[in-house]
Amino acid sequence: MQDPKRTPRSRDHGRSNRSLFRRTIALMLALGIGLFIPLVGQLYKLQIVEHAQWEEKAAIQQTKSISVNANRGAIYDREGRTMAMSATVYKLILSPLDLYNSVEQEDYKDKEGKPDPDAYKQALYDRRKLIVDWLVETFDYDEDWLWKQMEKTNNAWIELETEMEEEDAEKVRTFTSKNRITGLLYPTPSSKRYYPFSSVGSHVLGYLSKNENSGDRKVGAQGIEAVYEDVLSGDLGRVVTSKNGAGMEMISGYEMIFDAEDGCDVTLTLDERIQAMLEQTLEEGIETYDVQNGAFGLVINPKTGAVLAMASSPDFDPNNYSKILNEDLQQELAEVAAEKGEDSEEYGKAWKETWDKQMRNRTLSEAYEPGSVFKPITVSMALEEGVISMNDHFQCNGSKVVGDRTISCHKRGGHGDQVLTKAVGNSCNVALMNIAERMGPDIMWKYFGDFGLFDHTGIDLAGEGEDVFWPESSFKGPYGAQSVAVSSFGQRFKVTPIQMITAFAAVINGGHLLQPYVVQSIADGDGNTVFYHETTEVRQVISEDTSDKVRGILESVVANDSGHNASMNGYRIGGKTGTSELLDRENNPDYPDYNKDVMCSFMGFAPADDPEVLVLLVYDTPKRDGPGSSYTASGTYISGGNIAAPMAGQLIASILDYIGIERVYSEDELSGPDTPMPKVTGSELTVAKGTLQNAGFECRTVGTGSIVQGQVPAAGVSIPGGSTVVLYLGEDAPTEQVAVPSLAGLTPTQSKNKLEELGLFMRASGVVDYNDPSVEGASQSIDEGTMVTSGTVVEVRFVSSVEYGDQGRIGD
Amino acid sequence: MARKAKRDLTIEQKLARGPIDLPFLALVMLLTGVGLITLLSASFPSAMYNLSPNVTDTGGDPLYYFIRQARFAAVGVVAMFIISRIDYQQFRWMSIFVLIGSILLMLLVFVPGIGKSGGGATRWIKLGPVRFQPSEIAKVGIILYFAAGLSKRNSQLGPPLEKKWNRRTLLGRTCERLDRIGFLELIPYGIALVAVLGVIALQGHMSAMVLVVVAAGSVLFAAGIRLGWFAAGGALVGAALWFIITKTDYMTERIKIWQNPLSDLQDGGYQPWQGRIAIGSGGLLGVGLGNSRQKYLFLPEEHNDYIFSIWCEEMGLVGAVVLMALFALLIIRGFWLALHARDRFGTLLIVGIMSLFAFQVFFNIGVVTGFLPPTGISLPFFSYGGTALMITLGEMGIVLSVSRQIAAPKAE
Repeated sequence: MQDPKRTPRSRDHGRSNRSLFRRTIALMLALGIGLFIPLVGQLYKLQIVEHAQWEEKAAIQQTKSISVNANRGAIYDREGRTMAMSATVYKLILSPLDLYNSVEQEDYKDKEGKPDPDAYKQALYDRRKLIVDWLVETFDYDEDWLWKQMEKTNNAWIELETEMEEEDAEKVRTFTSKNRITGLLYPTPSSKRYYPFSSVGSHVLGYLSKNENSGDRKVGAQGIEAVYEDVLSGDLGRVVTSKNGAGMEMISGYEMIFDAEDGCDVTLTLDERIQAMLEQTLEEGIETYDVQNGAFGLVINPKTGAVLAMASSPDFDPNNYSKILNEDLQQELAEVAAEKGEDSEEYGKAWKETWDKQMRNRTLSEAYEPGSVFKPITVSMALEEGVISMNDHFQCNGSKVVGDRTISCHKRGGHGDQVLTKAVGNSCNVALMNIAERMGPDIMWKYFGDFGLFDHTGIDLAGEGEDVFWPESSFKGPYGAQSVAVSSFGQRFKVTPIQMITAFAAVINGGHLLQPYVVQSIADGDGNTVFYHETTEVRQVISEDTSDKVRGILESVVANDSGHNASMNGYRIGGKTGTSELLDRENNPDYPDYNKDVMCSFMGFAPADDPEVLVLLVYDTPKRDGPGSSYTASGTYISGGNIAAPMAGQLIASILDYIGIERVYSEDELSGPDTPMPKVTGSELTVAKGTLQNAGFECRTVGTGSIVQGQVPAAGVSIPGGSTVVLYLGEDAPTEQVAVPSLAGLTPTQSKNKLEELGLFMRASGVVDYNDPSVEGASQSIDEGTMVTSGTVVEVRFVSSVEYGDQGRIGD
Repeated sequence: MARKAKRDLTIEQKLARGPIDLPFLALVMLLTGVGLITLLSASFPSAMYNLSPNVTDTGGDPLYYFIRQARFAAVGVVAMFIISRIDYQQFRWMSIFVLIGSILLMLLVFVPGIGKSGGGATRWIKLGPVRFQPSEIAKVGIILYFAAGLSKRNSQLGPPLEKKWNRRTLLGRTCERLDRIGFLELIPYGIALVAVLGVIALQGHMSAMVLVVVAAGSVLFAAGIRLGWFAAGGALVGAALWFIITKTDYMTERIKIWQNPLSDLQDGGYQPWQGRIAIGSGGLLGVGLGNSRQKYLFLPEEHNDYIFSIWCEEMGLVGAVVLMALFALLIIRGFWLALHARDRFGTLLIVGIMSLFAFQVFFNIGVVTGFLPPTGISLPFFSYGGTALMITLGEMGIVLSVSRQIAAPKAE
């Protein structure tokens, strides 16, 4: 086989084979190893370097995450009444897409096996009609609208209903399972927020709505619901399942469940009853005095800073927050609608303004001029600094010249000589300006700050407004004297009502400036308390002693002077009235009806020696009877003492009654405690008269005779002592009912006489001064014209119509 | 034919009954087995869901693809043994007929009723139950023809210049010059190559053209064609590719998708993107055999061209490297056999087949991993496709047939 001779040919042959050998080895290396190197590199990049990124992309598309609603926590008042709660409701979902796909065109063929489009169309129509007819019949839907929805065949999710009750959801389930269309129309669970007390406390509670970030979920939009959104909402749960590329859930896939964590329950310091009382007081005042711009009020516990009630009128119903709740405002809107049409831009703007108005919590957001209510603060700082003493006298001639201006007192003739208590009782501006002058701007500015007027109070609600003060340099500067003067009686600067009441609380509670709060405690889903609010003291502003002195002054204000209308039998109430001019509304296009607008306010507390509640009521602009008139149409003098004080007295008494503070009657008041009527029927008249006198009753007789045959009231009935009972001689006591008369405008004596003529008795409250002709009946417990049996006790509340001026007259 | 007694055999026949190369056979069987298992894992979800019954109706049988592939694999292995028993010298004369036959078959594609369209191109023929791409046979045909022809070439410089040409005529002188630079001997191969490529081009089968060119080029290269021609041919092919890539919308679109699959996720980019998610999410060790999630209708063609990405997802980088090592070993062992082949024909035959195989693997993995622009080349032994698997096994049979005639190393 081997050729020993090396011919050229075999040499060629060998060279050729060597080339073949070399080139084959080259190919072997290139193809067997070289080609794989870049591939390994590429795989390394994908699987190691970029692994996390690809894995995440895979997870996103391979898993389906269904969120599971967490139950939103409830909101309770301090007595555990449910103010807000969530309940399961259902969304009703219609899927026109699935409905369309559920009828297969291929299933409809004629006898020859050709597609039969008519039969197919009919089948589709029948199925749609089945659903439409049932919905129209059961839930009264608009049929045309439903047919339009059916045409949206690329849509698998049309929410026909968002808050369907379980009962209706069950109807849907029954219907769909019976007709085997469960995937085409179905209820899906959702949750709904209920506010059982409707508008009570609405501004504090807030409401839920969707916003641009929350997507399909409703989140807190105001008040506690917004501030405590994270606490209330809990954590959404998720069910993660694997799915395939067609979006179907995997038959044997994995499933991971992340439990939803229910939201925490929040317990407020608010008391629903007190809140309702406050709101009712605001509404009553607005109605009685024809108040133009609403009202607002606060009730706090001055010892802790806990807010017991916080209200602003107009308000809204968080169950249906987009509705205008206030009837007057509805009326105004209706007028705009009638004039411009509901689609007009003007109406839209008016509606928005009105809605904004009802959503606004003025106690928190709106800085106002506190007016004379501020005087106790000025007095307390002067007393604390030793600039004045309780025995100091102040002379008022009706005005005081400050710099180049004369600032007058509300009483043009002047209050004359007054001791400090009387000066505050008279709400004398001149006296306060003199006090301020003695202190000087530096001390006052320091105390403004110490009373927290320059800072937010830190209340656990959002939206605290900003106070408005002079610049410090201007207040303390050479031209600051007028500012200092008017600031002494609370004018020309603005603080928010919550700042005002917090500062006032410090004045009467021993000098402690507290942080007001509305959330008392938070409990997690299992009921464990996770947060409890402890009283937070910001600083001590004045001494216990000073505070005690000011409490005394303020008790006297109610007992004897401008706050007299707030006095209630059996309670020691202290307080201060205020009537603040609203000069910034003059010539303001936002207030076209400006007519010497004032805010009538009262800040009161009780019991005066150991305050449990502190109340601030502010009525914005009671309507004047005419331009420049000082009276309402019903003749009430427009001032804090005549408008806010009576309302506040009533409110304070109701609150004290409710929280169980016993009435302690003074000796004066003791003349009229209720006494049971002794049995005198059958007795000799003279004996009867003696018995009644011992019991503290007076009597009159009807008929003639010496034996008492009948008596009104019957034996054992308690009536106020000193009442005149009726003895019937020679005839039986009448059994027919009598109509209760109107007592409006009558003095206590007149009222008592009028009632007793009819065999009715009077229990007087409020300002009961039988000999003062200026005291008038303001309200009665049984309405005029009501038929009652004789002997019935009618409670009558009296107020003084003395004109309790306390207005700073800067404007004049 | 009746089996002759050993003593009656000619030397040639005795040689053809030599032992086959066991390492090579073992690697082939191993890859076939692993390929079948991978196919089972990758294909059962789409077989089970049977989402497009009008294309392939699996009847919801998860084993549908696996059983069919396994059947072809069994037939293919038998065919491989039969082919390995053929004295490969017979392929010399067969080559021209295989080549012409495959060209005719490829033309049959265009005959209505026999040809089948699929994936936007007409490249299938269907004869009874058998459905296959005649271009697969054409590749083998080209290799056989080139190997047979070029094995007779003894010198790199050509035969000694005998008086073959009439130097008196211009034509004669030109021919002689062309002969001297080795052009003339290339003409028959050029004609064969152009014919095959032309028909494949008619089918719009770009990837098959590329494979034919690289396989043919490898044989030419090993056979000792002057590197100058090789460079020229490479430049020509490169220019053509450049032209196609930059000047035709179809290819520029594909290149764009290759660079950024997200640019066309709705259409062409979806599959590469899903493939990369599968590979990338596999990480170092993978999610475990059978646990791929991408095969659940996310990744289209997961049992065809993109089967390697499912392997990567399930077995991770480690598994992928192991698998590529198996391929590399098979290729190297093939070339080792080529180096030891009895004659030039055997060497060139194996070089052609193994080069074709190597490039097929390279292109498939390159495309799936995003290293190369997307084009439809299946992964040998792994991708679903019965006739393709059979042809691959047949090619391995040819290699084994050559291995039989390798002389056993002399015992020292």
